Amino acid sequence: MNKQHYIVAALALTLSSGVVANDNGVDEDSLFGSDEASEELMFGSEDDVGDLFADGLLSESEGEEIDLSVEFLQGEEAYALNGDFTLAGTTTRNDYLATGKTTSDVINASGTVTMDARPSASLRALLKADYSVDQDTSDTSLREAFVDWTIGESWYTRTGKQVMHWGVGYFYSPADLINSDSIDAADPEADRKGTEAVKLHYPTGNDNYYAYLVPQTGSSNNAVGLKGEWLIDQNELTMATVSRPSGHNSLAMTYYVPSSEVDFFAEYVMHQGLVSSLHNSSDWVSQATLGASYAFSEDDDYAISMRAQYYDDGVAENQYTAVNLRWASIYQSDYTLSLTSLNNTTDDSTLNKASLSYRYSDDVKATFTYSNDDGDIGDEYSRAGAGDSVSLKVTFWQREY
Amino acid sequence: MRFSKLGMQFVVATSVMLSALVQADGVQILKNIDTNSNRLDTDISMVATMIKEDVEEGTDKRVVRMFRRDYEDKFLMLFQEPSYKSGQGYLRVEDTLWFYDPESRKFSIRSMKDRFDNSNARNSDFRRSALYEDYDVVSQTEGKLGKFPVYILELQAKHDEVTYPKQIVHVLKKPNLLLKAQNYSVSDQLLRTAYWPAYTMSGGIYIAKKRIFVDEVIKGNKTTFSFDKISTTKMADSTFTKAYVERVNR
Repeated sequence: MNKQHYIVAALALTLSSGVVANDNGVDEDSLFGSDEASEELMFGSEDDVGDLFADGLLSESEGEEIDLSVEFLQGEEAYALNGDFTLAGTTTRNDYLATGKTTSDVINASGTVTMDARPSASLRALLKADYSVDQDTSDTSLREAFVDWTIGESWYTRTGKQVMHWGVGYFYSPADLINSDSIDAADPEADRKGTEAVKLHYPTGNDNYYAYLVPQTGSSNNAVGLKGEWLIDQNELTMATVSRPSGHNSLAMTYYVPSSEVDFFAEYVMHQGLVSSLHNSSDWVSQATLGASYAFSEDDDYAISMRAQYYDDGVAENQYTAVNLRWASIYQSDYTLSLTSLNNTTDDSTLNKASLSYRYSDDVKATFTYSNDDGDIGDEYSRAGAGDSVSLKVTFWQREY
Repeated sequence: MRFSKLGMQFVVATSVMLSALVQADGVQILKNIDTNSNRLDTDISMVATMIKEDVEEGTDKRVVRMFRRDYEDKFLMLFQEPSYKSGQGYLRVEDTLWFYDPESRKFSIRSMKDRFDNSNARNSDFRRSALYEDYDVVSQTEGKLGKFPVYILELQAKHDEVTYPKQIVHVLKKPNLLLKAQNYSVSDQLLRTAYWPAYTMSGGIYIAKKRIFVDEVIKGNKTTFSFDKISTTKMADSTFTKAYVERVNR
């Protein structure tokens, strides 16, 4: 028993104590002890109080001096096989100008298989594949397959098919110059397929620097991308450039302004070279988008989010607006409502979609969706002309393994 | 032998009683708390089990890996359980708190004042101790918390970047360690009470083994953190980077 322990013991012996009362539901006596007989039974009598260790406040170190960051990176198993499985039935009724009335009823089994190997803290290989089977078709596709290798303490490489994080736009992201699978404005949160690339990442504090090599179809050369991310007074600035073997070069800048309720995002992209048949190779053409997202929640009754975006696509010479409103767990129920409107203001086509989902359990969920297309046949959001679609999707079984 | 032990206890007790009459300086106590709690030569890592008790939603359990680098004021918290939250994480670097969502693979900025995973803890609760930098001592008394003699300090924030503008803290007299903190709003409403009922010693500093956060507005809501596998092994610099957070996800 060292001097410190004697001091505390002496304090406990010489100072009188009172019963700690508290109305917050926490029995402070049970946490810190008291002179009361019941606490003595729990924590020993004052005669036993010799030091903070004996009192239970202090304990010796467990002596487990292991690097938890390495342990967590490698996981409990060096090789892991994970995935998910969903069994669902969907019935759809379509009525469009070009195709007339059509119906479809589909029972579908789908999911993802992930293989993750981490033989060391600096090496990792991941393969992620999607599968889908219904009564008419079956499909498998490789979503991602890459190898991560850390060089030293500061350089990170990722080689293979991967989804790269470019751009800040929610519905439209012209600054995403490098992924081959672009965002689907009608389903912007859907998983995307990877692009074959080599990525080199150098982080420093809140700033990040990246270099990319992306093989080009039909060319022995690679597109080269460079990107820098900086934090300016809590606002995120990104500048990027991509040079392609075709002679198409691009410069992009994104800006993200977060706040407690409304976040603003903007992208500005300039292209030069063989951009499209609409432009001479010497022209500089630009794309710009501006948007905002708003989140509101109160007393768990209202978990509402809104997103709105305007996009001027100078390459395709189209302009767009997009709005989404989502109310999750309406009045703490298992219902979620989502309303989306996409509009190409140049060809004047519109897609309006409303969906109401109900989660009965972890496995069972039903989603009713109504969508309305308005515009001429062949226009962006009315490929089959004006018309409606109604669908009901019931998920019977959903599992992760 | 027995006499000499009793005699020594008497001498020690007398000297302590005399010294207790001299009120320790409140500011020094805050400095001592920070010194006793922060590790300035290595890193701290641990596994936290969070039990959230909510009168409406019931009880929820989370397992979180926590990494702290006090000398650079960084921390990283990564959810391990339940499976649907696995990979979500909070990374504090250069006074900025990032939240990572593995579904969207995006980082977004969060406030240190926000609730941690909708619990009674705040993100700022997991930062290194900075009471001396953040608070002035308004008043100081002595008392007991259970059987432990404590200093009771009323603290007023020096700036508005702290989560709570006013706190009343109960500090163990020797060593100076936080045992209880009552957190108040600007309008002087008691919002929360935090407890530190257990500590462990590692490398000369004291690390909480248990923390309890009690909601004083909605009675019955409470969040308890238990910390295990506490380690002071120095970690790679790369641990406190976005790249680590991205790579750790399965």
